[in-house]
Amino acid sequence: MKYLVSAAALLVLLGCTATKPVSLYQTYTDYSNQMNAENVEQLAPAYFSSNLLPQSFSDTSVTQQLLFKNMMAKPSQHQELVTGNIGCLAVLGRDNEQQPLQFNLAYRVENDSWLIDQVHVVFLEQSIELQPITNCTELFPG
Amino acid sequence: MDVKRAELKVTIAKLVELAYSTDNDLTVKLMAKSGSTKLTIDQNGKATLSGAAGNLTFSGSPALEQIGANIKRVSISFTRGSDNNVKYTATFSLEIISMSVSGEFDIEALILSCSGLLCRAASAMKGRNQALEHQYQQIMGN
Repeated sequence: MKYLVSAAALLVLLGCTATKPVSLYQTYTDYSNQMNAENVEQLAPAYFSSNLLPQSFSDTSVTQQLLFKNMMAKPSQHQELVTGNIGCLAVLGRDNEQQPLQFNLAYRVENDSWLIDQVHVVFLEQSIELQPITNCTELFPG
Repeated sequence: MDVKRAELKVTIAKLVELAYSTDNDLTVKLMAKSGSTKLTIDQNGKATLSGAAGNLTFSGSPALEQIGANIKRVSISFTRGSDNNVKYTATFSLEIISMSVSGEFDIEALILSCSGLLCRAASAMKGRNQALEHQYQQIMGN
């Protein structure tokens, strides 16, 4: 009985410390709401993987790229796929000129956080309906 | 990010113009032939236009330098059907993000604008020529 209780307690603890189920769209929304030109250097490590973080934040073109979310005036749809410790998110919306725009983002777990590992912006020629993602590689150019 | 879709499309037209000014015969053969043609630019600005008619190399830097961002790589696929219409999909890779834009243009209109007086005069001038930019924008769409 003691062993059963200990095993149950261990399972509960493991459940608490394992990476929780995540909504990648929620992490994107957090990034979109929290990061701005004033805090980009401070907050970038909380949203972007070490692969993407620049060596220096002194180049405004680079910091503007970290604020790519400013290109989309309003998101309207999203689809995401998570497989283990990697995932991807497609966000569809309109740009600041009301033209259709899509963000394709790759995510990976780093230090127990889901971080953006790749960003691909697609200027769409016409409005589309986002389909469920079956394979993350389809979102990025080969 | 300040880079607009129209700016990327005009850049594609300028790259075709640079190819044309390097070797107009080969550019016309590559772009005018039905099927696929590819234009790639590496991190040093070296551009290669390749297709069934052969390969043409030139510097793409004069066109890329006019974009308000540091472009590391470019890959453009052109597909020409049986008429003068050429479809393209272009991917521009920056330090952090990549961007794709698609569209179509009339190859005859673009080649004529590249060979016309306006283009030759603009090529002799330093800096951007607003009239030519506007003409390219009309040909490449917005």
